[in-house]
Amino acid sequence: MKKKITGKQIWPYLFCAPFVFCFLMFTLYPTAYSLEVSFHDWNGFGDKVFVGAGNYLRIFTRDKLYWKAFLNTAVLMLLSTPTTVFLGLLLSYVLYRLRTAKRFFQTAAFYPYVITPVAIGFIFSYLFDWKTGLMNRLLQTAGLLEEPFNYLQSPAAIRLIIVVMIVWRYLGYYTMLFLAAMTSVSPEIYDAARVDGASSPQTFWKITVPMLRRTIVFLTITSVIGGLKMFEEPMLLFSGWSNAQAGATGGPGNAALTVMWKFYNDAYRLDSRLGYAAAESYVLFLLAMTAALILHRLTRERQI
Amino acid sequence: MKKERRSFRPLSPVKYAVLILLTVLMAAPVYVVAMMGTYKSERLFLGIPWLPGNYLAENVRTTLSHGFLRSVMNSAVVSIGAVLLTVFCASLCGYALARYEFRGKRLITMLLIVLLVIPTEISVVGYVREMRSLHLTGSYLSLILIWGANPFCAYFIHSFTVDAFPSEIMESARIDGCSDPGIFARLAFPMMRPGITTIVILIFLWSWNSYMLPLIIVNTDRRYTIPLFVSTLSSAFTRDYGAIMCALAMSILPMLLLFTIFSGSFMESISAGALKG
Amino acid sequence: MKEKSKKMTALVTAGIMGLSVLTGCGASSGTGNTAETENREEQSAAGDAAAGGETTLTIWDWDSAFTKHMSEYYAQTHPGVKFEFVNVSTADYFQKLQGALSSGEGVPDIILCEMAYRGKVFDLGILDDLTKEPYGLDPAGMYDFAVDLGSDRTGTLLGLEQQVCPSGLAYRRDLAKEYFGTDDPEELEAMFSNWDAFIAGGKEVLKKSGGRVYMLPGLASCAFYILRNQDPFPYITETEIDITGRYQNDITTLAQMMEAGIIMPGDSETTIADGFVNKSFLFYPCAPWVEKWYIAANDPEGSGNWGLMAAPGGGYTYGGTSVGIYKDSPNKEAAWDYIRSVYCDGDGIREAYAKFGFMSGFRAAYGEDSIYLEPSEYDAFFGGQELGRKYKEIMEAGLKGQVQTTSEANVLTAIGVALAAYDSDPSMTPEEVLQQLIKEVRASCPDVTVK
Repeated sequence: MKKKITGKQIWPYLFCAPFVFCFLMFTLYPTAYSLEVSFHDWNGFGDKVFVGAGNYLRIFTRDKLYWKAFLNTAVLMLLSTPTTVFLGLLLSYVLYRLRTAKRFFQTAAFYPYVITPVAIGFIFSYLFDWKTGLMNRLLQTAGLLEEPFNYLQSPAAIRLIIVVMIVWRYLGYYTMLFLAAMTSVSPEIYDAARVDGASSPQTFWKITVPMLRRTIVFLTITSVIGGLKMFEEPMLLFSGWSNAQAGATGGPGNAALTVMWKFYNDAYRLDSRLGYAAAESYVLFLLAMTAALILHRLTRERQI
Repeated sequence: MKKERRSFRPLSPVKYAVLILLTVLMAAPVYVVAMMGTYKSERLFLGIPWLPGNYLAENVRTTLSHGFLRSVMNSAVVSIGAVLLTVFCASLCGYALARYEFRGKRLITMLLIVLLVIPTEISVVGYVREMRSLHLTGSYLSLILIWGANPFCAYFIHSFTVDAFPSEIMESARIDGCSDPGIFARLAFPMMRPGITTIVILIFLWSWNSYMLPLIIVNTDRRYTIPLFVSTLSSAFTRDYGAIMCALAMSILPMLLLFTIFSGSFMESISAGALKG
Repeated sequence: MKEKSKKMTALVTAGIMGLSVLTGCGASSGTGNTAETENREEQSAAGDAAAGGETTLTIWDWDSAFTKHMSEYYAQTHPGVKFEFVNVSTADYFQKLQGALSSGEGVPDIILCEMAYRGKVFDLGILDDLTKEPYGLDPAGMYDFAVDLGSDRTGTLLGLEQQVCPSGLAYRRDLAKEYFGTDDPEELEAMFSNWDAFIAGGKEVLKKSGGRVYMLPGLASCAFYILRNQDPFPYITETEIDITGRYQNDITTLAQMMEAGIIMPGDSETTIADGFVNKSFLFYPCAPWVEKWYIAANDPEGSGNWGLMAAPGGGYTYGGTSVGIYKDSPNKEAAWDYIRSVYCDGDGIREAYAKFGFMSGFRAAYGEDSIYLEPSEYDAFFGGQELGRKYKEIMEAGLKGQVQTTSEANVLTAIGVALAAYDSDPSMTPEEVLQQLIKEVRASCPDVTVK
């Protein structure tokens, strides 16, 4: 270690300087500023009034909507992550054994991932619109539905739609990652399985899934952290195609309100309580860290 | 014996059919939106538009007159700026962390790891205020600077350098009298190119799709990026639903085109990025 | 040793850099502010010099046709005033305004407050009291409801109605003839003088049309909007929101309509647009602005086929936008002069009425020879009916305004949520709807008692 230190030690510092500069300026400073603001009552331009832990107390004691939003976010995550992981595994398993057109299907499945999430929310807001949406029109034309079903008024349906939206968006992405990981598994293992007379589902459960454990763990953790920040898809679901009533607060019973959406509402859209909103984002951060830690603990043994 | 051969036979036509059906299902939402964009508004409510209508030119004109090209330009400027800034900061930093021993290295490495799990959303309130102090509110820079310290990219380049740029090369280059910046620019950077490509693509995609910060910080439609353009469609195109659909379809077009052109390196990048991260 | 000291130097350099970044930032926010105030002063100096020179007024508006026309009209007689418009939709207005305020840049001189977010802007404390200098407006010249609508919770007048909204019901003449045998507004008004008659009539229509034609669309955006604004009174204090006292009766009437099935299900813009195309409803709430933004926009081929009558149970205000002046605007005098001319008592109000049907909230405009007895832009669309005369009639019969606050805005949002649930589940009882509403208000206002 000592050997590497030469007289030219100024360079690593210079090399790191731009990054560290940006970090101090545009990450650390605003993060610290937000923390300071979270102890104040402030509308963004008037005087800041120090309220101590008041904002945090209000979140933990009175603001039921915050916890409702957190619960919504958690439920959406719990429903969508396992579904996408499972379907992604299945699809990649099928694609892996495909001889022709593998690339085509892989690329096609991946397209939704590059679409702006805002547009995805918008598209789904049209598909599931009560009177004009494609889904009801199809079902009615096919005679499967007599009266149009008001998806965006049923909390269960709303959650389901958001889950479909997430699965639709991420399926291709997950599939691709699993495929990449599968390709790195040596084919001999599969040969061995064949010799042992394993059936296709057996190979899938006994070999593929365990071999992809790391990828699965990784995807689960990132999607939990990413899922906590969910915001634009549910929001556009209610304000995209049709400005449905209650669209600003997550629909009926606030079923689609996520924490970041509430943060945005409180800070900028429906109110201007920056201090309170900053506290909300810090609480979310603490919850996210806790979730990440728990997941890390649960999956630690086999991780490197 | 029969069994295992069956399991490794090429997929049956039925399975192909299922895959094709799945692909069609994945594509259907976008297809329908695009088709609706070719109709006049009042006709949209009369049936399901499976086939193109005759109103595309008119809808495209409406979309263009609402600043569509300007939004594409804005998004492009922001994304390219973000990519340049991130590549500059992250490649230098990642490289230094991988190939030098210096005091503070552990600190910076720790920092990167902590940063990886901190959501940037937490700094939004402060960042907006900071941009005000710097008189940058709503400028391109305000949307670009936030990408400067992207922990993922620095971390990615760090681990990529470890794999792709052996320290022996560095030592021998030094013996040949190369300066440190020279080694980085002429030797390391070219060898890191696949890694750089990955972060170029990822940052481009992420900054293009970024929504919350522009939503809060951009106050004039002159600076609208594509996601903002999309989210204000229904209020900007008062009740012109055909044009709304057309604009929506056009908004997702640039990324779909870019993806189609670069799909190979795109998918490699993302899998590389995700697996490393 | 030497190496080490070099290392230290580098570290210190880096540290200092980091520190200077932090302090630089802190300092820059200070200097930034001074620079800003200087900037403002310069601007206001320029504004003062504008007596002979030039002033630029910034206005944010969604109705660009109106602002463009009226500002050009105004500029003919005031060549020194230039306008800068920013097109901001009502949905984005509050958020964009808030953004401009906190960034300190680009705040408009003239701020428009649509009903949906008016209370919140009033509560931000960024608008000037119009009764004070340099404006010196006398509220006695205004209709009481307009004063109520333009005042905040302390009774300070912060906004003037850009146009008052004495509202009635627009109706389809062809359908009215078909189902009621007449399309004459007076006869229809006599037929539907109260909601009971309206509901009974609606049942008939429903039966005759085989369930295809409803009386009204939009449970919350139309039907309940009318009901709750026909007889508004204060119900919000600093510590309490009395939902039951304020809305119980309205919900009961609404429930009768729902039971009769005369309200078109699906309260969203697209469903209503769909209803316009398919002629699914007879009536639509109508204020002057609705003619252009809803009726003509959604039924472009319907010219001549619409009529306007007073609503059962009396007049109400439907929507509405107030105009106020930013308290830190450097161009207060110029802004005020423009507002006076276009919205209060200048010649601009005649132009605004003739071209857009906008009506002022000042009594002076409503005398014997009122300009509102003259024809306006959309008369032809309404089968040649004199719309101004009808609105004037509704207005003189008496209107009331609800004072706008943040809590009021929250309650409006909650009404949207609760009624959306009712819309999709008409089997809810009025009591359940009320409880749902109370629950929603509690969620958005956790700091006060809600009953």
